[in-house]
Amino acid sequence: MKKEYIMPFVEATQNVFQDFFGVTPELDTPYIVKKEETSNWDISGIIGIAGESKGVIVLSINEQLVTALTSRLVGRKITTLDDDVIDTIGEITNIIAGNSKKGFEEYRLKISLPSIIRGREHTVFWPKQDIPILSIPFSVPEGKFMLFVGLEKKITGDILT
Amino acid sequence: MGLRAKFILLLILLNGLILVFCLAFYLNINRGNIIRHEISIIDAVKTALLEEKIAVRGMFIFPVSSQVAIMENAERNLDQNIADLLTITYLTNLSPIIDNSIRDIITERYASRMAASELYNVTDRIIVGVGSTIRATANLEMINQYAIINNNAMLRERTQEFSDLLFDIERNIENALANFDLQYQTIADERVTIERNAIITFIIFFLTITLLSITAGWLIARSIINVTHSLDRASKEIDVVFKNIHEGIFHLDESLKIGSLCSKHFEDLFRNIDFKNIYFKEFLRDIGVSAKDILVTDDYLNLFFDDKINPSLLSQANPLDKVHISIIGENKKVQEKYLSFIFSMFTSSSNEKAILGTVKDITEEVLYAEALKEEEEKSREKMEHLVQIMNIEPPIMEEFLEDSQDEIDYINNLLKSNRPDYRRVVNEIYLAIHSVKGNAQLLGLKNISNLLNRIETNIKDLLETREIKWENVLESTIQLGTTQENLDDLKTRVKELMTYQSKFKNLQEKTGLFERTLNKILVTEGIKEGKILNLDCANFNSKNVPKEHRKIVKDIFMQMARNTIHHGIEKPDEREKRGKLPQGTVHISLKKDTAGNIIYSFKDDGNGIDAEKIAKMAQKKGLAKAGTVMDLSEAVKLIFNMGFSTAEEDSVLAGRGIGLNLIREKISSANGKIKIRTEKGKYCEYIIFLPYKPAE
Repeated sequence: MKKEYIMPFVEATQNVFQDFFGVTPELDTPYIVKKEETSNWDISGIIGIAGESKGVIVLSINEQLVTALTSRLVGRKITTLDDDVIDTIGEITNIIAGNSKKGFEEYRLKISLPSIIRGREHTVFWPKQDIPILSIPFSVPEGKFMLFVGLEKKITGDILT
Repeated sequence: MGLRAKFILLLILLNGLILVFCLAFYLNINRGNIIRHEISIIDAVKTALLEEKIAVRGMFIFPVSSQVAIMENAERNLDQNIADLLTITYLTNLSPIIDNSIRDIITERYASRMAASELYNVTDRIIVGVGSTIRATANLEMINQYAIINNNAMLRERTQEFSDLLFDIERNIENALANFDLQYQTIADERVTIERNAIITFIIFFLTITLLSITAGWLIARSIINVTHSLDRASKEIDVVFKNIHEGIFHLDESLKIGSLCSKHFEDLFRNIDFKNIYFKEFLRDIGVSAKDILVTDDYLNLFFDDKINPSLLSQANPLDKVHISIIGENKKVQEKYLSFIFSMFTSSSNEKAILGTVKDITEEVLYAEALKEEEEKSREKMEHLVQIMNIEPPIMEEFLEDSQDEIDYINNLLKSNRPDYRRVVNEIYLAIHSVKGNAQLLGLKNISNLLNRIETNIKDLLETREIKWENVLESTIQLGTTQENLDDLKTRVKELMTYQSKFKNLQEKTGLFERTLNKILVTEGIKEGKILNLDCANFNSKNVPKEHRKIVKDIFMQMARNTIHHGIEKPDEREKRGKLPQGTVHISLKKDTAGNIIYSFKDDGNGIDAEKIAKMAQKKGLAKAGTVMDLSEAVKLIFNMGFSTAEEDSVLAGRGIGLNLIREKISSANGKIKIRTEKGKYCEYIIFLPYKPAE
């Protein structure tokens, strides 16, 4: 896992939130996620990564925040995880994936099409082997959301060089 | 070139033949012309003769002007003429004159080659002759009449004679004319023959030349077509090869410029680089080859033009055998590639020496080789790892893992609490990694401790920068993640091993583990430093260390052990000089005090704290002014500060200057206290007070 692999996602996330909701999320200190840890997210966008490194990027938000943000975007009050919310998160994840691609051109990384998980209070379980999962918390006035980054270690990058 | 020479020779030959033919034709025509000229002369003479004959016959069919002139002349000169006629001599002499005139004409005809002016002369003379004849005829008539009138028989006789003579002359002229006709016929025949012959010669010649030209032309054309065909085929074949070969082919001339002919693969490979007709070194620079490699390559390529160098040696010295480049590929993206160049010398048909170069994209191969090497390293490392793990007693290992996990969890909780002081956070990560590294080092887990040492260095560099940004925290967190990752890996392996080991022996008791670990570290690490150490733990029983103190006490004692090994205990010879036993001893003890604290002590019989040495080092590092004198308490304060170490250079074991600082951190976080007792050259004792409230 390298900083250079993660920054494109962080920057893309901030830019997309600025563009969509007019708010740049504050970055809180990142930390390591225990694989057995449970959480209570309501919607998650998932992007797979392959190439020089393998892994996964997940954007997780809870209902209260995502409905507030979507309401702001569509201009009407949204209270449940309806199709508008799904579409919005789908679009955001898509744009994050797309924008991050630019940052990845010099590293041999490829990213998958994003997919969306909706489920009240769900937990994303991570691959058991070898991948430390980094959690990057973002704060906006309405609440917090999380960008999880799990990238396989690259032997040459970590132990041998 | 040979073909071209042959072709030119053939053309010259052909031109020569045509020239000869033209000359022959011209000569023939000329000959014809001469004959034609002769014929015209003959015609003129013949006409003159005919006119003469007519004149002789006395038929005055002459041109009018002549007639008039003659008549006028006759009238004017009548008297004179009469007088003349009286002269017989004149009359007798007349015949030879005419005779001679005609003879001359005939002679001159045979003498041939008569110029036009000569012809006129002849004609004039004929006319003169004819004039004379006319005059003679007229005079004769007059004489005859005179004779008849005068009845002069003799004169009539003479007139008769003269008339006969004239008749003879006339006959002679007729003969001459007949002769002329014959001659004319002969010449005309000759002319026809000559002309026919000329035409036949011309036709034959023309046909021959045409045939020859056509044959030669056909032969030449055929050979040219053949050559062109084979050239065409060859060039097509070359084209096919050059288009389809999956290898870049190019050539360099003697000045090491890239020639225009190169394979399509080469063009594709360097699509965005203008490589034609530039120096090879410029090309190398454009594709991002290092300046050093370019220099070496230039020298290397020049060796090809040196006849003394063995080509097989050259191929072994190729500096571009495997070269890393970066070029702008599709969509203006920079592409990293590995290329392999091979050079060989060839001599072109024009006898110029040149270098043929081939280039192959070996990126895949190199990457595969790297991946393979990685895999090998990985498995080698796994083996090493296993060996390292097997050398450690499982309970100790378990303890190490537990402790390390505690460290990471502590940091992680710190991170989760989102403390805004990034420097503090990064510092905590640094300390945690340092601690885990130290333990790994002591246990002989080389791979992990080396990795952690690198991470530690990175974070240390980071701490030295003025501003710590969120990105830096991310970086450090990633490194913490890497540490976690490696610990997880270790855990998995230990678990695997434990399953095997438990079959053979019962799980060892944890009793005495701490003491044994500490002893092991002192002994093994001491040997590395050339020192002899042993542990006295008669007053220490790890069973009496409460669980919540276990980690902190261990961390502190480990750090102190490291300090003792590095700074405290002297080398055996030095100890003997001081009157001590060659081996140094570390005493550890534990007791409870009345205030509910537990007092831990760590004492060595080494150097003690040398305030002077510390002051010097502080000055050297710029932490104190020159000439500063320190007392012991100031020196102690200094060594507990972060970033201070008396070691000259960093090593994995100690010298990073954070050991005692770490201890202070730990103790204060546990609300404890530390005291130091020391005497220079004799001993140093650390006394640690940690609060403890036993469960009710």
